[in-house]
Amino acid sequence: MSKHAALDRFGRSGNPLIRSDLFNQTALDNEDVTTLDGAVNKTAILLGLTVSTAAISWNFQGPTMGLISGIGMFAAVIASLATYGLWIFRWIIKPTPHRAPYTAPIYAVGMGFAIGLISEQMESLFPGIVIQAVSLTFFVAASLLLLYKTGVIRPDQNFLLIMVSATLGIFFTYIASFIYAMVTGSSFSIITDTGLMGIGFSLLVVAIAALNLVLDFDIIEQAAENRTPKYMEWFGAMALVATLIWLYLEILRLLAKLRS
Amino acid sequence: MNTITLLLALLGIASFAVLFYFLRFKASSRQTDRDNRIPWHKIWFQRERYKETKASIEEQKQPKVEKQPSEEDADFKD
Repeated sequence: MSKHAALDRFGRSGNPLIRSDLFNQTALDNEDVTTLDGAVNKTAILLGLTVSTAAISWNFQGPTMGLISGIGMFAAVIASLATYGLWIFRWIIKPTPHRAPYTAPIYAVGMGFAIGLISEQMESLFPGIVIQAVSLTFFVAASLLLLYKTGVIRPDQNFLLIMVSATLGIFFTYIASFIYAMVTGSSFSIITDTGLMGIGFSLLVVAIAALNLVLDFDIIEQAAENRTPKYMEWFGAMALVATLIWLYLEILRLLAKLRS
Repeated sequence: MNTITLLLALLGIASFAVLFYFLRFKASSRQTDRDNRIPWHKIWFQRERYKETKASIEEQKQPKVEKQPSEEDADFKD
């Protein structure tokens, strides 16, 4: 045994992240740390919850289910804020990853009800669209995972900055469109338009949502690598499921535009 | 179900399997051994860091009480 506990535990590393103080602060016993297997299992649990509640919402249509879906979506938003905070404005709400074991299932169930309702309505308009959207979502996710794991895509701080800016840009566009729709009764044509502009916008949003997956893979990878607490498995899984749901909804919208 | 939907469904099942299989594997050294990785720990654990920093500042602010020698202390002569 050497005098340095960190060296005994982790071995010598040139990685500045591993050498950081926080790495040592968050290092715990083997049973209490994040693992890739654990994160995968949690992702599967969350996806299972989402699909189960989506199936309920799909099969039992009606005003009550509409209300439940609305409440579910609201609960999902609250759960997201409670976990991730507004970390870009981190002085307002700080991220609290330790809440993820409780908020992640709430998010998955809530979003399940909402996407079940949306999917059923889209399927009634465009038969077969849901299977196509689900398949394309997993295809994009698997492709990006392979690109990430092999090191073809290597996210750095510039990548993070670009992705956060782009994601916030889309978020504010949707918020502005929602407010505009509340006032005038019609949303921005760029979002709903089935022409070239609308399809181009949807393609851009799909690309950004897909690239957000790279950040989620990086969160899970680094959480496992840095031996962070166990709750980071839920945190990473929640981030991945949230992006998958977003990507699915955007692909659904894109396919609907292409078919219109 | 038309042919395109069927093919996409098969593609989806295969992609799902690939996603959950390869997610369990560690990323290549090309991905992990570099200096410009995103410092997620600084972002997600800022609350913990804030608490620790605050605690250490408060600890430093507290006046240090000089320990008075008591009768029980041993007096070693040179």
